[in-house]
Amino acid sequence: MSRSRIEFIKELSNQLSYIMKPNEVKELVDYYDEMILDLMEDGLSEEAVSRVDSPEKIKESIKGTPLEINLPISKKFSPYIIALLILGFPLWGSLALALVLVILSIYIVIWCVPFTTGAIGFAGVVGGIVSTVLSPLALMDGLHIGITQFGLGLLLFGIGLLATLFTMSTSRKFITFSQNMTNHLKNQLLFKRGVNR
Amino acid sequence: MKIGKKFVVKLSLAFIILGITFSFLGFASSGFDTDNYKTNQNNWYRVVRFD
Repeated sequence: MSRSRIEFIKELSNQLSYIMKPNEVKELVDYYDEMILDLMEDGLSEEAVSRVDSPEKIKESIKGTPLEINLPISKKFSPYIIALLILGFPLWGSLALALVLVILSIYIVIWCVPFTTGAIGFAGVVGGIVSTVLSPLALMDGLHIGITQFGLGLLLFGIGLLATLFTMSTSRKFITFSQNMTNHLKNQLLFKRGVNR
Repeated sequence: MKIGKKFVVKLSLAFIILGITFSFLGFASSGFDTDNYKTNQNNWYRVVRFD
């Protein structure tokens, strides 16, 4: 099975090398390799490679993404247009700012999920360790207090561990989603407008 | 030794189940009475508090 994984990586590097810089190819190949290894780890030894998009499909999805955006700016700037731009700034400036803030808020909402689970994970692990370590001292106040504190410590630690694992496994997906969304927005706002001119 | 995701999930679930069991035992040994936790509950090492 590892052979077809290697074949997949070779084919992907081959396909991407035509459209991307070597360091970008390496990053993307590493990302897909890790994804396949994760799937293999989850027990999908035979189907791991087939679960991932084919190298051609990956190439096609990346193809539209501009690496360098050159906006065709007209060299002739009429003074009327400049005056209109300056006078109209309160309108288009505020609209542009609103657009930027809407996009920013979308990113914040998306990243709220891993941030929250990460915070729960950190608090759970630290709180659990503290609670468990200090439970012998609480034992001096009463057997039931010590046992309860020890139990709550274990419970917190377990929840924290689970939340940390969830954060680690999902944050990669969130990163990919954010990258795709950024590329899509770039295409929509800059690239397509440039092409239409 | 490589620690896999499944192992960590199993370990966390084991901690959670043990934690619930110990907490229940502790609370049961207090006679299910929160008043029994109020002695010295402002001490720095106390995590379980009932205000």
